[in-house]
Amino acid sequence: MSQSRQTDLRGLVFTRRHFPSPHAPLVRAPEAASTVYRVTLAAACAPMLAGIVFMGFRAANVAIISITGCILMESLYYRVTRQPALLGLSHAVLTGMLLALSLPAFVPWYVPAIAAAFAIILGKAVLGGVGHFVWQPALVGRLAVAVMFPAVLTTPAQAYPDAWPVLAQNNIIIGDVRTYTYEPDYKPWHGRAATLRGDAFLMKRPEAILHPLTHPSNDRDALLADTGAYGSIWGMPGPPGTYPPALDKMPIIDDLILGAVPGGIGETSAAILIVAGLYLIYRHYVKWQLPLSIILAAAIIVAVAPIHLVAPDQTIQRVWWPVLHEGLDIGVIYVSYHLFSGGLLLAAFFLATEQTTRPVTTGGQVLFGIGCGTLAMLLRLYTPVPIPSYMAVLGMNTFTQTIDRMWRPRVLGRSRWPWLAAIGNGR
Amino acid sequence: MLRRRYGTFVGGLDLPDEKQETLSRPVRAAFVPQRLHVPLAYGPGPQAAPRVSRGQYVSAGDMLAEGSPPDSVHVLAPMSGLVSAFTTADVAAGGRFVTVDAVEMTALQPAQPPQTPFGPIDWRRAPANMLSDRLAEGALTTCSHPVRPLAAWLAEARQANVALLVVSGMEDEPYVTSDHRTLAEHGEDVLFALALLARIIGASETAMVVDERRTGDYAHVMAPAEAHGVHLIALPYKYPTGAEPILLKILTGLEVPIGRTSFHIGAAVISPATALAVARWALRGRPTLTRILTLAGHQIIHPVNIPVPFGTPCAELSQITHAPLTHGGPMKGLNCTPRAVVTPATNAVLALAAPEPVSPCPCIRCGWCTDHCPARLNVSLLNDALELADLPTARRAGAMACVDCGVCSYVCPSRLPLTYRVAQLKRAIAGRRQLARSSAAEPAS
Repeated sequence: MSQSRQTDLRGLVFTRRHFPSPHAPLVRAPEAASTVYRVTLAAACAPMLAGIVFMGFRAANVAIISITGCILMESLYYRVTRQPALLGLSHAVLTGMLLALSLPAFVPWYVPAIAAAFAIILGKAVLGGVGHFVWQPALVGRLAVAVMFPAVLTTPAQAYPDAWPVLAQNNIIIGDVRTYTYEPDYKPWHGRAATLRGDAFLMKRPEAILHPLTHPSNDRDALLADTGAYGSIWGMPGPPGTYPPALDKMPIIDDLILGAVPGGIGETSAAILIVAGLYLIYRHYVKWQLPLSIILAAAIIVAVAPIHLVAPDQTIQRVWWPVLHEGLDIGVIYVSYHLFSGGLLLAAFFLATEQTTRPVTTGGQVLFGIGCGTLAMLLRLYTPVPIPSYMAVLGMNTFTQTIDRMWRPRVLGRSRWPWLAAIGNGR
Repeated sequence: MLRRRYGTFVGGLDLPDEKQETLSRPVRAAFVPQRLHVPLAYGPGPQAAPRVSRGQYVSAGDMLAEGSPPDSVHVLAPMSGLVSAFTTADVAAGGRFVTVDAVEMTALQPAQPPQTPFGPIDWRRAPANMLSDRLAEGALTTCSHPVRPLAAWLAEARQANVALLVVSGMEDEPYVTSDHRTLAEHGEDVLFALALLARIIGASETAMVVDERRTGDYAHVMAPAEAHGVHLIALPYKYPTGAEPILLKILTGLEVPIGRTSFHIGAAVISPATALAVARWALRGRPTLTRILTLAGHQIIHPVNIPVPFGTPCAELSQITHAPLTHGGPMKGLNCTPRAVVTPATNAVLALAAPEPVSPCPCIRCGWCTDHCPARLNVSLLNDALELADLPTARRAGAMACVDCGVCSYVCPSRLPLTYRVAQLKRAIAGRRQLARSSAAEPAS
C-alpha cells in the first residue's frame, strides 16, 4: 500500500514538472531518440565491417579506441556537468563509430583517441550536448586530427607520398595494414589470385589519382608526368615507356564499388554504403532528398567543372564539360569514379544526415545537400584539402540554422505569396 | 463548392485503430449516476443564473438555470432528482479544463424527459426564421468543441452566407466510436437534421463525410440521403482528417485563413451528435439531456457506447477505482481532473493504461513533427521559439495555424510535449494580440 502510494506521489511530482497535466496526446509512438541513434549505429556497422574486411584488424582497433574514447568523454561530461544522461550513451557510441569510419586504418592509436576527445568535448559538450551542437561532432574530431597530424594521416609511407596501403587479396581481415610493400605492377583483386609478400600494398587513392587533372597548381611537366594526359582524360595510347593515362591508373570499377581500394575505413565500400543508406531511408531516419541532392550536385559539378589537359602543342588547356569531352560513355565513367571515391558517399548517407546538424524541412535539406555536394566537389577538384567532403559538410552545418529560419514551407491557411494577395486585395 | 475528387493532405499518420471492442456493439440504455454536477456553462463565457433552491425536487427536463439566449442557453435537469448543493465542476474547453459553477443533484431516477407537444410543421415549406426560432426554444448546444448555443451558431452561419454544410463522421481518434454508433443507429435522423439546418442557414450543398472503412454500417442512410439531396462522401483514413480545417481543405480545396473560422470560406461543419440533438428536438420535441459517449480503454471491463447525462462526474464512469481517466479521445483529450464532468462535447471517456513516465530529452531535430504536421508547421522551430520565448519568430512561423491534432507529440522520439508547447505559444500570441488591440483602442476611446 505504502509502496503504491509512493509511486503515485512520484508520478504526480514528475507530472507537474515535465508533463503539465492535463495535456494531449495521451498515447505515444514507440520510437525513442535513443532508438534512432541505435538504428543508425546498426546501419553504420555495415561499412565498418567492410572496412575490417579490406583494412584488416587495425580498422577494428581504430573503431574500438574511438568508440571507447567517445563513451569515456561523454560519461565524463555528464559527471562534470551533473546532467542526467537522458539519452544514454547511444549518441556517443554513434559518434565514435562515425569517427572511426572517417579515419584511415593505419593511424597510430593516439589519433582516434584524440579525435574522440575533440569530437565529444569541442564538438558536443561545449555547445550544450545532444540536440544543441552546430557541427557534426565526429567531423569536428576528424578535422582536429587532420590539422594536428597532417603527415601521419596523409603520408603513411614517407618514401611514397600520396600512396596509401590496402590489404592484398590473400590477406584480408587478418592482415596488418602497416606492413606494406610497394609493387607498382601488382594489379589488385581483379582477375587472378594475388600472392604478395607483405600484408598490404601501397597505392594512390582514387581521388588522388584524379586530382592532377584538375588541380591548378600543377605545372605542365607535373601534369604530363602524373597523368600522361595528352589532350585526353583517357589518354592517348602512347609509345612504350610513357606514363599510363589518368583513368588507366584507376583501380578497376568493381574494386572501387566493393571497397578494395585505399581510403578511410568506411569510405571505400560504395556498395555497402549505399545499401546501409537505403536502409536508413527505409526507416525514415534519413530523407531520400538529402543524399540524393548531395550526390546529384556533386555529379553535376564534376560533369561541368573544367579539367586541365595538355594540348598536342604542349600547352595546358582548360576544358569545360569534361563529361562530354571524350564522349558521354567515358564521361560517365569519369563522373562515377569521382562519386564512388573519397568520403562523398559516407558524408552523403551518414555524416550530412546527422539529425541535429541538418535543416529540418525537406526544402531546407535539399538546399543543404546542394551546398554540401557542390562544396565537396569544388574543394576536392581545386584545393589540396585532405578531407574535402567532410569540410563541405562542416561548412554547410554552419548555415543550418539560417536555412531553417529562411526556408519556411507554406503553412495551412496562409497564402503562398502574401504580398501578392495584399496587392490583389487593394491593400 | 465541393470538389469533384477528393485528395489528401500533407502530413498526418496512420494511428492504431483500437476500436474493435465497441465498433459493432449497440448503444446501451442510459447510464444512471449516483450524483450529478450540472455545469451552468460549458466554457469560460457567461453562466446561466440558477432558478432552483437547495432541497428542491426537479424532474428531467425542468429548468435548473436560466440563460440569456444569445450567449448562453437554459440549463435543464438531465434527470429527476433532488438539488442538494451548489458546487463547481470542471468542463473541458479550449484544450483545458475550466472551473464553472454547478448544481449538484442526488437521489436520481431515470426518467424520460417530457415531450413538448409540437404541432406538425412542414419543414420544407416553413420559413427559415420560424424554424430557427423553433430550434432556439430547445436549449440546444453544439455537441463538439467549442460548445456554444445552437441559436448563436445558426445566427452566425446565416450571417456568413454558408454555402456548404458538412456533418463529419470522420471519427479519426483511436478507441472513439460514439459518432460511428450515432450514424449507424440514427443515420436517418442525422440526415434529416442536416437538411433542416441547411435550410435554415441557406446552405445550397450538404454532405455527410464518413470513414471509408465503416461504409458497410451506413447502408441504410443511402435512400434518405438521396431524398434529402445529401452528398455521401467516404474518405480514406488518415489522422487528422476529421480536424475541421483539414476536412474542408480536402472537400473544397479552400484553406481556412489563420485565425478565422470555417465560416470565412463559406462552409460549416457539425458533428453527428449535434445533428441528432437537432433531429430529436425538431421531430419529437425532446430536449437532449444525455451525450452518447464511448467508454473504453485497457482498464474498462465492459467497453460500450452509452448515453450519459450531462454533468455526470467522469470518475463515476470508471469501472475500476482509481483508474486514470481521459476526457475525450487519446489524441486531443485531457487527463480528467477529480471534478471533471460530462458535457455535450464529451465524445469519450477512456481509461488508458498510464503511460510510463519518461523525461523528455532535448530536441534532436529529427524533423518527424514537421514531416507529419498537417498544418505544415516547422514544429522544432516553434519548440526553439518557446524555449527562447521568441514570440515574433513563432508568429512568423505560423504557430496560429496549428490544428491541435497532437501528431507532433505523438511521433516525437524525444518525448517532448510539443502540442502543449505550441498551444502555449498560441495562447501567448493571442494574448499579446489582444493586449495590442486593447492598447491601440484606448487612445481612441
